Amino acid sequence: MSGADLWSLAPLIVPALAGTLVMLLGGFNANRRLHHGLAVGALAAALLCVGMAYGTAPRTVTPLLIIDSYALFFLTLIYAATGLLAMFARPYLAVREKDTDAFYALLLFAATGMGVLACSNHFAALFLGLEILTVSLYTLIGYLREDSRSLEAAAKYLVLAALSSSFLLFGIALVYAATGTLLLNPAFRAIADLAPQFGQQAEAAWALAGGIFLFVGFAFKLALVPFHMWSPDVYQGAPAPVTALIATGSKGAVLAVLLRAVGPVGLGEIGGAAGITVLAVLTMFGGNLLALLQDDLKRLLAYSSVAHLGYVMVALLAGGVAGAQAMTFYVLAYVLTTLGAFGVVTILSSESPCEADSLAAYRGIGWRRPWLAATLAVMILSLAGIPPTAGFLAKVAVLGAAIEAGRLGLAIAMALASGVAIYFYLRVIVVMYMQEEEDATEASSLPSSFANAVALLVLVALVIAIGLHPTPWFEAVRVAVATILPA
Amino acid sequence: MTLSLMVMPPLIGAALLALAGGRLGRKAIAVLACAAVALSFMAAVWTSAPLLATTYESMSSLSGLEFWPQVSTTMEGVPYVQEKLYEWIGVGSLRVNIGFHLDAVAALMVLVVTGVGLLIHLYAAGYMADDPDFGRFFCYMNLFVAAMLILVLADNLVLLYLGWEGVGVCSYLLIGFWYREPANGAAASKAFVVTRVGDAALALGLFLLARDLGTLRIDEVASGAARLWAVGDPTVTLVAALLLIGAVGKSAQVPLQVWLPDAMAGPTPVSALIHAATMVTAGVYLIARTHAIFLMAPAVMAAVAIVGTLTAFLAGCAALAQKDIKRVLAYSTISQIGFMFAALGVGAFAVALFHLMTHAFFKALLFLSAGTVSHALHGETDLHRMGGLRHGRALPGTAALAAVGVGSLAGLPLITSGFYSKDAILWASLQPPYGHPMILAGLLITAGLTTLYAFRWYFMIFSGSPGPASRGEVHRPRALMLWPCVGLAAGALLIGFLETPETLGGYHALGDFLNPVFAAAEHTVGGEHAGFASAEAAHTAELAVQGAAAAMSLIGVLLAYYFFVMRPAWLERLKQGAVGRLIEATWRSGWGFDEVYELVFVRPYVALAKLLRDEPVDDVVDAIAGTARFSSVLLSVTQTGRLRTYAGALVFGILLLLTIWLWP
Repeated sequence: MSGADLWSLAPLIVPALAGTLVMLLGGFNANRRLHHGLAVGALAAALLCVGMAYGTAPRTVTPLLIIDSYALFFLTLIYAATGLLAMFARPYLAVREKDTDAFYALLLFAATGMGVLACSNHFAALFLGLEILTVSLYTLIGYLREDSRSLEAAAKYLVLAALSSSFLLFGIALVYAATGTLLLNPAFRAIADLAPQFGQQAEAAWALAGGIFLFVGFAFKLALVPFHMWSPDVYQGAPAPVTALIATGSKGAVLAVLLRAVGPVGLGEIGGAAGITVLAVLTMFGGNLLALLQDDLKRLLAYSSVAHLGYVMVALLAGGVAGAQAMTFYVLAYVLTTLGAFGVVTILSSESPCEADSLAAYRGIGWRRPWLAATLAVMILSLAGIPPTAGFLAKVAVLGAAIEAGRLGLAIAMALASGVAIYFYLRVIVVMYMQEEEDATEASSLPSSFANAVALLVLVALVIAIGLHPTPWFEAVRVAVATILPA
Repeated sequence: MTLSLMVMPPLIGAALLALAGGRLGRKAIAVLACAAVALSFMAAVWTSAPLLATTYESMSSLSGLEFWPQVSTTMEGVPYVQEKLYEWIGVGSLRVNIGFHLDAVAALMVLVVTGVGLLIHLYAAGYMADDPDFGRFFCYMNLFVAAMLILVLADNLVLLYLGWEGVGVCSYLLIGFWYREPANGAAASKAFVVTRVGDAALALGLFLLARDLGTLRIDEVASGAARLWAVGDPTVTLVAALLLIGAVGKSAQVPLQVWLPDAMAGPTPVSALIHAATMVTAGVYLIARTHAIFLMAPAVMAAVAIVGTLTAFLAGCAALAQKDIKRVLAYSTISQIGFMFAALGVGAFAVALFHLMTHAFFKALLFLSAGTVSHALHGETDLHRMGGLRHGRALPGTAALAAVGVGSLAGLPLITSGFYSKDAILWASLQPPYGHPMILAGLLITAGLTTLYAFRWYFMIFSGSPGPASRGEVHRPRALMLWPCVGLAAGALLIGFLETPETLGGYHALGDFLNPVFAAAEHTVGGEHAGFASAEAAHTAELAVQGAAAAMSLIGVLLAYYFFVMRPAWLERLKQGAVGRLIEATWRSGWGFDEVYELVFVRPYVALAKLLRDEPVDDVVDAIAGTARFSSVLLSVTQTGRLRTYAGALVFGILLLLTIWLWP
């Protein structure tokens, strides 16, 4: 490994080192401000390194990792999201009087894991990245250890994630046995070559079964129906900033590696189109229908993100360059929007030690906290896909790609599912702007920190800016996708 | 600021009355409203004067002075005054301005609208003096004048449409002015809905023009249509037909005439101004304005003539059987506008406008007289309960004024304006290429009917012995209600001399003024010797038509006198017979159009509305929502919170995928 390789890897090395540093510091220094500053600073530095790495991209560092502009696009998204999360987390942790060293250290390790996923070019790196992320999440989810819901969520996630990881590993083993390679693209290309000989050659059966088990591993992380059941419990039980991390960064990283592995070959080629079509339809309708009558905002957002991942699967099924671009653009819009929504939840949960997740707690905040409510309203509208927000254009892009690819049925299913979703999204807004009940206690007028206000403002501005003037963002997505899928 | 000076005063007046009407005294309101229309009238004179100067030698000294607005001339040499305020709509190549255009035709209209409008405003100040909603009334009246002027002055069809809808709204508001009476509200709605049928057609016509010509400026439409379409082209025929339907709706022609008799629910000055003198003639004006389109669609021209003749005849019959003092006049208005349509249909546009002008005077006069009579009899409107008001201390002045109006409506020869304008129509209806003897015959018969119902109306009110209503104390009219009628009576007697037939001097003041606008049309109508072999033959024919018209009119008077004054009993006996009863019932109901429409349109529509009252479409939507809700509940059952369920689901998912993948 040369020095240049190390420079290219800097975006991964910086958060890993910073995480270690925070952990070491925590041993003899309980200064929350310092830990927070280090974490945010490290992620900012990592973003800087991402910027510099554009100069040397694309570069393959060992067979495991590839630093190309596709990876850098996702790294930017992931680190920015994690950095904003770290900012939202500070008052949240402060009000709960928790030690913060481990939290920030784990957050940085999770960021490293997500970074490795986004850059992985090899099953080993994929598994490594996934495990770094997952192990960090086990602890983060259970971070509020006095809270039984938090612990329950962590336990559930531990068991189910371990189960899904075992499927993933088994899948990798089968694919290796059939194709003899662990490099992502060659492996999937080999599966595509073997697929037509199914029934004649034993390798073909192994390869296809391996593909299924691999996909189950992904589907668990993405919470596609019927692998979604952990997600409402974990979303609800985890501390709000961690929920945000699961909903945004971890999904983005897994989707990044999924698209890198499958995109260039095409789902149809490897014989996965039928199964994933069924899953996508189940996911879109299942997620939205389950969210319909939810009275808990975090669970509602959990089901909502299930449904959104269904839409992403539509883009993946559409395939081709258009599908890949639509998928990447959707991830961008989804991550920014969901982050904004959870940002508001986190800030409201920072006002008292109890989580602000019951929808009843949001009744009338439109009058008490007009700015926060307006922010949440914009994010909800974007999730619902109403113009002029990023969510609207993202849906348009996915629908366009699906129709162009001739997947009309899927496009119609997606439109119908989105129609169902409007109901529960608008319900949140309605609740926020309802008159307060008489006996509502006066909320503490604790102002949220200036930095958080700016962070939310930036997110709102981005969501609306993408919705109004999408050209530069589409261009960025086009450039990123071009490196894995030349037009 | 030239033409907008005409539109602004009533518009500002309406705004002031709307905002501050409640705080002003009655006198202030009346002065403000009348002053607004007076200013508008002065502006109309000021802007029309230079146009007159270009026509008449005697007035040419006017031109050249800085005082008058700038006059331009088109390539064909038609003088006009123009003012563009600003661009209203700019979409693609379509440009629509708030811009005004005054040529001879528009000048005639604005002078009538503001002149007659001013007299009616003055009358209304007296007539409405006791009404609690004095301010609201004049607000609507001023708004109406403004909208009518916009309609007349618009240099494009979109702005014309704005005025067209504006007068429609004012008509609606004023018909339902006494809104506490539900019948008045129903009449207002009926007027609005029925005219809307025409308005929709007009809008479609405009869309077609905009689509094919890319412009809606009236001058460009005329030249563009000539360039794009051949005479008789289906598209231009369709456009003309749609414009005709619009005109038919607004001008209460068959088959959309049913709203006008009911519109009499409004105060009488409203009937005089809107439903006699100005708004209802907007259809005539529209066709005159877009005559270039109509001339390219000969089939539609024939339709215009037929609609006009038919309407004139049907409404003339209906007027004969009415017993409400204002409904007679309403049917008479429909009938007279039918005459105007017949003139338009035979290509005699200037003649139609001539009749429009004389009709504005004598019909306004008749309505105001009717208002005075009702006012004097404490709101009585039944003709059968009146009589003898000519005599003694009753209403001799009003009787004399009404006699002038009735005479003019009946077209008494030589002395009334109605004679000259109606005679011009009759003569035009014989001339090629659009004229036809059948039209002449229909109009001649109607002219006789007109005299009959006009004098029936007069005799029943003013002659004979006093009826139950006119026996008691008679409420003397205010001076403010009398003097405007004198002005109108003077007009009804004198303006006929502006245009006399060849046989009676051949003085063509009005024709000279208007005809340049219709230059292209006038060349094609009549031709040499008006289609007759020689000048002598034409002269003889014209004399014959005049003689017939005069005879019809005089016979009508005599018949009316005989039936309604000398031998009313005979008529009663005639009405007792089965045939008589049927005819009377048919005519009184206006040929039963209302009943037919009730059966064909209103009932099915109401039935449909009742059917849809519970919104069956919503049931479908509700069913979808219910299904979603139910599925949500059903799915929630899977969310047990138990780890083993979740793990089981995971395994189920794998099995599902395997099944799908390994499916043969």
